[in-house]
Amino acid sequence: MNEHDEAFDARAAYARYLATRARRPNRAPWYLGAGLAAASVLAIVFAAPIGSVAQSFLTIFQPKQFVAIDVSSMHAKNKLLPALSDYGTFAAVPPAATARPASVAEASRFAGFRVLAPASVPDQVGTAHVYRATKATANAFRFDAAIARKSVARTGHALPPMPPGIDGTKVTVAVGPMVETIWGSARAAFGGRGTSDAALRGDGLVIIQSRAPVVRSSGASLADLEAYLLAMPGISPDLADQIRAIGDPSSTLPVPIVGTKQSAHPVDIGGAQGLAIGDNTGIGAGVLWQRDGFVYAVFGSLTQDQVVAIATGLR
Amino acid sequence: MTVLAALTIDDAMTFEELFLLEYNRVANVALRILGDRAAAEDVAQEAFASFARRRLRIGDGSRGWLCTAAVHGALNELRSRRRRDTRERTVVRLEGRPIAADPFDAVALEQTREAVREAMKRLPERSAELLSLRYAGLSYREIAVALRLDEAQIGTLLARAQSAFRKELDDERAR
Repeated sequence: MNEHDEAFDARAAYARYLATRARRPNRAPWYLGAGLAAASVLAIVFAAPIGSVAQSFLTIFQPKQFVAIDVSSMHAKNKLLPALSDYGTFAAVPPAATARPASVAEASRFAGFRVLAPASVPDQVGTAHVYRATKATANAFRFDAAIARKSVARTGHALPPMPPGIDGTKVTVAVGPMVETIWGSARAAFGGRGTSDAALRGDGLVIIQSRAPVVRSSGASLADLEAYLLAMPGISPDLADQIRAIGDPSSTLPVPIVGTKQSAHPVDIGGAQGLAIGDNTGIGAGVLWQRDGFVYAVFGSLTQDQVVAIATGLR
Repeated sequence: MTVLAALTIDDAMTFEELFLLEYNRVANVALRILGDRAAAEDVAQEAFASFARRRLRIGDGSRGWLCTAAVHGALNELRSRRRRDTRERTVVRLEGRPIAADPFDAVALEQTREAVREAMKRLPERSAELLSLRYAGLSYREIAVALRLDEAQIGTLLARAQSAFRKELDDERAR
C-alpha cells in the first residue's frame, strides 16, 4: 500500500458489486470447485438437453455416474465452444453465499449435511487444512433465438439455426450446498488457470462434497436441443459421437479429459462406481463418485492409489 | 488498512474475502491513472467482475491480475474520455476534499496530478502497467507474474519506465 492511497469503502463496494451483478445477465455464475464447475458447464451444455419431450419443469438430469469423454480433438485444434451467452441469457442470480468454517462441525452446520472427513491423509499433505463452504444456488439459462442471430452477426461465426421449439426454453441447474476441505495448496490440486509451475509442485489435496446437481428444463423438444447443441461449431464429430454413445444420458455426467495428457478409468469407491482421472504429466490424480444424492471429488498432487485410498476412507 | 495490506491471498479465500482485501488497492490503481474516485470505482468493479467471469482461481497471482485489469481498464477509460477543461475538472474535484489547508497548494497538487495522468496516458502501455503495479505496492515477483515477464528483468524495465515517465512529465509541465 502507498501512503498517498485514498480510502475506499470496500464493504459498500462489495454490496454494490452484488447488486449490480444481480441485475445483469450473468455469464459465469458458477463459483465452484474446478471439477464441479466443469461438470456443471458440461451438464448444461451436453447432458441437460438429452431426454424425452417434456411439457413442464422436469428433472432431466441428475448425475449417478461419471464417464470420461476425450476432448483432445477440440484441444489440439484450440477450438472453443461458443459461449452460452451467444445464444441465450442467464437469469440474474447473485453469487452463492460462501463461508470458511473453522471445523468440520461448523462446515456441516453451514451446508446442512454431515461433512465427511478422511480416515487419514498421506504424510506429505500434512495435517493443516481449511474448509470452504458454499450455499446452494440455482442458475437458469434461457435459449433465445434473437440473441443467437445477433451474435452470428457480431462474431461472424456460424451457429446452427435455433429450432422454434428451443427458443424460450429455460434450463436450470441447481448446485450445492458444497463443502471443500483443502490441504496444502488448492492450486496444486486443481492446477487451474493463473498458477505457476512452482505452485503446482506443492502437495495439495482437495475433497469436495456437494449435493448432486439437478438439471431441469421448462420444456420444448429436448431431442432437438441435443441436436442443436451438438451441431455447435467447435464440437468435433468425434466428440458428438462420444456424447451420443452415453448409455443413460439422464444420469451420466460426461467429464471432459484430454486423452493425450490424462487417462480415466472406472474405479470402485466402497461399492459406488467412480471415475478415476490420472494425469500422465505427474501433476496429480483425482476421483469422482456419487452416493446417496451427493457428488464427491478428491483431487490431489498425489498418486492415483493415494487418492482412491482417501476416497475410500471418507467417513 | 495496514493489517489488511499485510494479509496474503490464500487458496481457501472466498471471492468476497478477496474483494474486501484487495478492493482498496485495485481502486487506488485506477484512481492514480484517472484521478476521479467514481470512475476509479467503476474500473475496480469491472476488474472484479472480469475476474469472476473468467472463473479464475483465487491465489497469489490474483492481486497482480486484478491490478493489471485495473490498469488496462483505467487507461482505456482515460483514452476514450474526451479531454475536458483541466481547470473545470480541478475545481469540481476539489469540492468536499480538504486535501490541503491552503487552496493554492491544493490547486498546485491537483495540477501535478493532472500532469502525472497526462504523462501516464502518453507512456507505452507496458511502461504504464509496470509503474502502476509498482506504485500499487506489488513486489517484483507479483509484477513479473501479472505481466508474464522474467522477474530478473523487472528492475531494468522499471528503471526505463521511470525515466520515460520523467521525460513525459517534464514535457507535460513545460506545456
